[in-house]
Amino acid sequence: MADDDAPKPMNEPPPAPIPGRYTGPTALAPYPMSRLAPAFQLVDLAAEIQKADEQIATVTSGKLMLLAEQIRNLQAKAKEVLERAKRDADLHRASCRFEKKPGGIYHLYRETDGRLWFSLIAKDEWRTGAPDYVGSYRLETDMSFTPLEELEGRDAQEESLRKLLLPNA
Amino acid sequence: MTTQPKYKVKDINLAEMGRKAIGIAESEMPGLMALRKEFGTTKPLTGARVAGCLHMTTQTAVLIETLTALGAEVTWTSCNIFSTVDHAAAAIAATGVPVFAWKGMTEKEYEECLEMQIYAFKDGKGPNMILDDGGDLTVWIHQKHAQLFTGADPIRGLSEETTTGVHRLYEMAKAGTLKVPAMNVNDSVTKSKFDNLYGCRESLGDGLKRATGVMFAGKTAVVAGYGDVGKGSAQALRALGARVMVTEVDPICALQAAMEGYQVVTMEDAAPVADIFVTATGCNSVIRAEHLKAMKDQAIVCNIGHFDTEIDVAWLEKNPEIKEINIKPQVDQFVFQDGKRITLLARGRLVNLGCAEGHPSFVMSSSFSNQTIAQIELWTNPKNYKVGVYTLPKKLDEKVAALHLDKLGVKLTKLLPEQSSYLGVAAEGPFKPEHYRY
Repeated sequence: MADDDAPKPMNEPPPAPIPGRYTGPTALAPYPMSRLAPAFQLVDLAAEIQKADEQIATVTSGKLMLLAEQIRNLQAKAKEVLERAKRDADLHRASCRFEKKPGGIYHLYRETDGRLWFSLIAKDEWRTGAPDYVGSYRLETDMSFTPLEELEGRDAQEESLRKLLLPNA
Repeated sequence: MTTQPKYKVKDINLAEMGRKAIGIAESEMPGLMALRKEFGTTKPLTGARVAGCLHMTTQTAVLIETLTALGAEVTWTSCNIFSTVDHAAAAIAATGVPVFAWKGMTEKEYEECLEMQIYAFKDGKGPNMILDDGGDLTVWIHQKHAQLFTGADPIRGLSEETTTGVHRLYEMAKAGTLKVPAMNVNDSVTKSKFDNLYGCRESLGDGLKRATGVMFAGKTAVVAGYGDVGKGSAQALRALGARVMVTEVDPICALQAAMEGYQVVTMEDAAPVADIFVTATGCNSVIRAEHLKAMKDQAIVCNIGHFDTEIDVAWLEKNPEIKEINIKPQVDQFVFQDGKRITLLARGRLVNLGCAEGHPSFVMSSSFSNQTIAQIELWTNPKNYKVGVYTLPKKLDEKVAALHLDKLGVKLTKLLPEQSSYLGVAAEGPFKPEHYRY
């Protein structure tokens, strides 16, 4: 061992890098190189709620600023946005044992004790007796929920927005 | 009017990912693939409508596709609310097989799925075969759809995967309530001595590690129950350097554990000293309030026995003095008033399925080859079986094992004629008497 510790002469050039192999600093490596790095993505419910809350907050404040510029007749709209944000936040807190994905349609039910829970089973699909049905929602990419009955409206609105923003697409 | 969905899975877009996983699993499931080759043209399960209720994993997907390759029409549910591998379920649903399973169901949804699968066959016909794991579907159909056992095209038989379900079958047979011949797949040697033992030996650690990342080395672990599952669990923990204690009620199993060098104690003794608790008894109320109270801070508690009755989760949930914190799906911490935390995995349900992806494919191939052979046997030879519980003949058990040897490069020695006559055993088997214990 003692021999290994002895200082080595510096007169040899460093070995040529292998093409394609990352040789930069560890801190900037393209993939985690430490075993203490986070593992692959298991869904963290707490983080999901937080992420949803942050998204909702960002989206909501953005919308509010726009509304502020357009004075009083938009106050009603502001109220609606706030209510929706609260509703979305509440919906994210409803008990749900599976992982919700944007684009998915989920059905909300109420337990006898008042607790809300999401199911994949629609109201008219229950054979063993439907639980107390509250509503069905689609989870959007911005983590908001669209009630099933408003889907068409929302889709049409997004479509016209898309045409406006990307007229050549 | 009730709408009958074609399938219910978390996200059908996961099908492509599931198909890739199934492809890998197929290469590790030589028994099922050999059965597809042997029976793929004769299709002995033609006309069979199999209602299957068994953990909807990637390996089960290979079983389902073996049954359909053999001519059966299949509908599927998972026998545990946390055990579905969503991408495997999606891949199977995408092929047109009605699957009603996703990871993280409520109990109500679970029962609803059992009901949906009965109505999901073509032309609204009910099933005429049952493939079950744990007996839930068997009991459901016996209690709610008894008419399926009579008529022109009645249920011909059922095959049961696991210890707990088999126990229920024997009780039903004893009480005279069992309505069809039942094949006890669990007690095929190539099932219980492989899946339960070698399967759990690999997947227990997988579940514990994925959920908590806990290091086993140096820890004190207690395994409740020293049956096949307990034996595999104890070995897995010991192999990575844990000090393993065992609890047992059966003196034979207790002696086995002691002879393997495990300290055999009661749960009362183990509770205050162990870091990791694993239940594998098939019994209920194994870890109770008094044990949970006595545990150390940061104790990890999980179950690998079939049902969620082994740990008194309800006591933790309902106790107003205990606060519950969800860490991530299938991992919850319970905080006692003094600040002590207990980590509960998969809410007391199967930890290897709730927190990992179940057993490795290879070991499931031998279990599922038994299932497939049992379905063929009951479907094609119904006259040979009266109502009762049967095990597969030894010859078929040996066949299942033989189907797996090539993949492992095993070279089998052939009995010479003089050896064969010396032993009184045919050169092609069966090699052991029925009562041999392996």
